[in-house]
Amino acid sequence: MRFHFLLPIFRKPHYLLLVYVGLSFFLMSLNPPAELRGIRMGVLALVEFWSGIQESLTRRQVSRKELEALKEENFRLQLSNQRLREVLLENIRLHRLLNLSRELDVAYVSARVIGLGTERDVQSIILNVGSRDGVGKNMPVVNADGLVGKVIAVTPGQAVVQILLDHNSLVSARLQQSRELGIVSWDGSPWLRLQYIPKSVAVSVGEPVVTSGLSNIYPPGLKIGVVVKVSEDRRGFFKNIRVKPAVDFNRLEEVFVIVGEKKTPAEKAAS
Amino acid sequence: MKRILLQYVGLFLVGLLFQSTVVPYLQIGRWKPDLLLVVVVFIGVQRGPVWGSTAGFVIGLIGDLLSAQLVGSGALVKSVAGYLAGRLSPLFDVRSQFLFTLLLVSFVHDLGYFFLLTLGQAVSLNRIVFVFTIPNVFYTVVVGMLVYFLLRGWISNEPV
Repeated sequence: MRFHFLLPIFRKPHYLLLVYVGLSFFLMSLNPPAELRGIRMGVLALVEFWSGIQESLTRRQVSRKELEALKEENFRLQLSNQRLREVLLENIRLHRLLNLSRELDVAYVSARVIGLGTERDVQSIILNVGSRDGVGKNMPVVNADGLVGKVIAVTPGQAVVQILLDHNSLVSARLQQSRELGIVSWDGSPWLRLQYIPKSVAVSVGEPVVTSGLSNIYPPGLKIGVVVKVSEDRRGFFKNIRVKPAVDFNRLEEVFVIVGEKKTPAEKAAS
Repeated sequence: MKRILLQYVGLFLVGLLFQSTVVPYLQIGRWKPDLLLVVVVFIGVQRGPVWGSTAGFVIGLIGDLLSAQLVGSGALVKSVAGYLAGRLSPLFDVRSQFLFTLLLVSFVHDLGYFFLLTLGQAVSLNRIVFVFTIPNVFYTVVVGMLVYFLLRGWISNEPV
């Protein structure tokens, strides 16, 4: 009842508009009015609270997506890292082979191990080179660590290599320091066996064993391994010597096949 | 009347929610639709200048309080917009009433709003009209028409 005097304003819309316009200008002139500041702070607190909820929901969604993306990225990088590590290791091996090829005064063919031999009686590996590449039977095979074995069979594209860890393998060898000659063979134990070294010869553990060069197959000086155990049999004439192979046969990947003596430039020109 | 009032309050709240959540994603450069203006024009068209200017004043004031802008500026332009919506809408055919009213009212609203916003700054009237106002008016009208077609069946326009 007390506000009846306001009714004419509501009946005349332009009066009402003038009131609103006046009020608006009044508020603008007071800006920011002390009375409104409290209300504004309250409203802004509510808005902030609502925005906080929205933001946390959005952030959770985003972080879940980000997490999945990062997992994928991590997996991809791990694969890439593994590949790079393989390339690095291959590079190191090839580098060592390259050094060996410079040291060897022989003609050779580089090859990659592509499989294990299927013969029941022979421990062998298969190489990706064959007669087409100049590889022939009984050619020695080496890697950067030492002697691997010899070629026992050849096809145009592949070669089968009998490794030292074979019951039929016999290599004429020499103790590097004492220059004593012996035969390296394998009897199924973890180490090679060096036979026919007389008891009178002083042999120390760690002494290198190399090819003697007396056979027609292996050139002299190729490392076979090092002496790891020396014992004597009372009744025999020779020492029992165990040799750890220089080559890790479980990790063979790249090798060289020695195909002959290195030709001089004059020989090359003649051929 | 109470039911109608509640409908408009609900409409305002929905508009406010969309204005603060969806519209920021619709913003192109400096232009964005003003859903609260669409609500004011809607009320003004349906109920006339008294309701329109009152709704404009209240909604504009709340908008001012929710934003960092000068308190009273939104109330001023929206109360004028609501009044004009109530006054202009009878001039048009019923089928195109909302469209033309929204177009004209948006122009006046945005012109006033940007004028107040750039008051005291070296911004030319041409820039206010052609760069700020007109593109924003078209954006508001396009979005406003979509909203109108969605809402017109839901909000009762029976006499109070």
